[in-house]
Amino acid sequence: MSTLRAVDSPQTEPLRTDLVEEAAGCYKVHMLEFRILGPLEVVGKRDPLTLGGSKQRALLALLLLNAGRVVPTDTLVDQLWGERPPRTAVTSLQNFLSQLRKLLGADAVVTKAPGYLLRVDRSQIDAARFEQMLEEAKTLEPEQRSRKLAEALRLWRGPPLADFTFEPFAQAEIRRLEGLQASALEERINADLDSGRHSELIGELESLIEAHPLREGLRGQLMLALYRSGRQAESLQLYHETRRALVEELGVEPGRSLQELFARLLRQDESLELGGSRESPTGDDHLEAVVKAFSAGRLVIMLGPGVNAAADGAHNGSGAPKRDHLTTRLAEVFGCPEDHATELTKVAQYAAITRGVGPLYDELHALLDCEHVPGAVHRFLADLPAISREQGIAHPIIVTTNYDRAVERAFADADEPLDVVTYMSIGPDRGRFVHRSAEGGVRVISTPNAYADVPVDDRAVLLKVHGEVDLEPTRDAESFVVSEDDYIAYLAETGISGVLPVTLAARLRRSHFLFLGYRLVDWSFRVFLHRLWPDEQPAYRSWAVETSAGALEQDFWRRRAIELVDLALDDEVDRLRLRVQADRVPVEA
Amino acid sequence: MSTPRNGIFLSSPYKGLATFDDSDVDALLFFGRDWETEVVAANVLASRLTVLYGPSGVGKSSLLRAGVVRALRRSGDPSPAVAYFGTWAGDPLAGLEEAARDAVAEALGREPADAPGDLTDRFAAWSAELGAELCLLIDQLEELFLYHPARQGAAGFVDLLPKLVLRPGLRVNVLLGIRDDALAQLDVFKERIPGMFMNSLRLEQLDRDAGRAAILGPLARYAELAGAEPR
Repeated sequence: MSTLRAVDSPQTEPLRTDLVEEAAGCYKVHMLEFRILGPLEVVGKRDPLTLGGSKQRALLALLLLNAGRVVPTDTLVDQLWGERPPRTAVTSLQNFLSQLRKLLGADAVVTKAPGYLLRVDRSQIDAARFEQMLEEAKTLEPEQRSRKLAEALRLWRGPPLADFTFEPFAQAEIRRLEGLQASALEERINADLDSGRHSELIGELESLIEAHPLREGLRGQLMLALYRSGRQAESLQLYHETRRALVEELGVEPGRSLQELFARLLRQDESLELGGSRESPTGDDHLEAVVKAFSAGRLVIMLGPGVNAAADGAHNGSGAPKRDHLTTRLAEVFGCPEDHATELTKVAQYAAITRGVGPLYDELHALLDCEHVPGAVHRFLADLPAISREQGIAHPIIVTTNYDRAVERAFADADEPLDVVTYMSIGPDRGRFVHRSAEGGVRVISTPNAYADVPVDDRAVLLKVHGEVDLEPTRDAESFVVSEDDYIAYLAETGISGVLPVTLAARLRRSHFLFLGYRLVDWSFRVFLHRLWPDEQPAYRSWAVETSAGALEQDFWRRRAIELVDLALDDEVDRLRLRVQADRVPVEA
Repeated sequence: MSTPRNGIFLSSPYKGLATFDDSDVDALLFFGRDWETEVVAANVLASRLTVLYGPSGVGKSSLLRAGVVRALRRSGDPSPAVAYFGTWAGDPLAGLEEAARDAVAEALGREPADAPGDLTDRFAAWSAELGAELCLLIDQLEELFLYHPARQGAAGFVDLLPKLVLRPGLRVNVLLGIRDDALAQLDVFKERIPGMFMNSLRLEQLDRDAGRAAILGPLARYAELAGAEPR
């Protein structure tokens, strides 16, 4: 690939195999190397094997993507022949399987109900080795890291699974691998920048940009490389060109990180120098930035379902129920068909359509009508107002998509006042927010752009964007954004700044966001963000704390220019607590 | 910037019919519009476009210049650049650019870097350099149509506004101030800016309490200043 840079480390050898078995006339599967970083290839001692026709190759690819796991016969037939397989499909399948056994060794394909399994070790697959090398590179110093990543990238022979570009079964893996390749390349270039190789990189970056003109990350790296090579004017010029290209091609402004880089270039910021601030995803650097945002009174803490998953105890009268639990219970109660019971929005939609919104609300209420024992995150939030008061700063705003009352409980326990602004998805005030003041007043916000009575700076405010359970017997305030239709109604709104009280909206627009236990793969959690930022990205640097996020989840955050912090929630909260407490003025001398 | 208590000479606590200006002295004497100031400033921060209208002489310009401009400049660090523009007799685009450049320079503490392209390009570069929003308070818009009839002279501005308001990722927020009897003239934008009036605010006459504050506030402040500054 043109994207690879020659380095002086030795070329990786394909897996060498013993010489003994070859005499037997067939390969043993553990001697083979399987390659999917390019067209599908299986390499024996020296040469690639001949893999047969397209169906047989597809079958091998299918088994390979699920290496070590049983793939049901039905699935294999579906994927190979589509919805209307010929009657001979199963026979043909068995035929292909026996061909594969001949090719790869008799023990390669194992028959195991309800299907088949390819017995291959992950280390025999080039993609797995690639990932392993990326993992190893993380802990290395820049120069070695660059070398390791370059070596990993050399495993690539072309587009991943190149002969299955249009096969549905390969799509997810193709996307995942492409994402990994792009970030490995970006990381390798970062490592080169960190080891002072900026001038060598310029040519490579220029040709990469030619191939991927709209990838802002590459442009940013070239801007930095030019700057460090003493070509500041060209670096600034490149920003303007990039901006023009984006405006002309896509009609959008550059993303926030590129804009920030531009600003740093203009003021010749120290952090641009070699050895300037390095941002490590798990380092404490994000903590400093979060605390800084908090101290400037410009932090919004956004809670998602993961906060309850992390809360103490299960749903046995302690702790608010987890979202998965709600999904399963509702599916059971309403007899939701299994293929429809995968997510809460679908189950709730099913219940609302078949039985009505009333029974759905009753059931949700019953599930949520319990002690919402605050977890570590909730208690941490309740500690913040005292600190804000001490420091004389605006209080942080808390936003939640959860229905429970755990935050309120935590504030009550800490004897801290809390104003709540909650969304009504039902009843006469449908589509509006309701303001429940700490003093007890309740007001429907009917002219949001002239509503300035939410004490955004002077008191903690909790914004419940998906409604909430009402634990009073009358259940007047109860409202759940839960079914597909609820989210459609949300999307159909004209813009959140037209619905949220304006002083609160203004704070949200100008804030840094810290997402705790939030997730984006579930589309329903993207709806509010979409309303909040029609341009996709928050205007100020923001973070999401999530441990072991999947590749797709990472993509979602990256697209919103939100930094992913790979930490468990409790760890993050512990660190934040320590860090914030450290800034406190000691009360006693 | 001179501190208000230092060397200020006030001949009277009242401005009379003159419009309040974006000066420290005027801010000291501007009373009775606290709530409006907060609401209008919040709208400017929350929305890409806000339309502020009201009857002639109700105090739109005073509110913007003595209240909103300052409230916006105090809205956290980094604070946005806030430009007020309301003089339509000359070339509107040149005037707006100058006001914006001054505002950015004030927020940055130095002149912004040169940026190529048209006015939108420069606004984009300036807000990126600043790392915050550029708020444009564009007032007395009725005069655009007065000074530049038959649309020719107004064309530049009529082309500019949709770009400022609609381009994704552009950190420019616009407030249009206009007399209520001229509101229909904004129809020239309606086709290009869907939801043009979605975020509009009407400025009312001062109510009784606010009126009292507007009269007594300056008096009290004047006495206080005079006491602190013996002449």
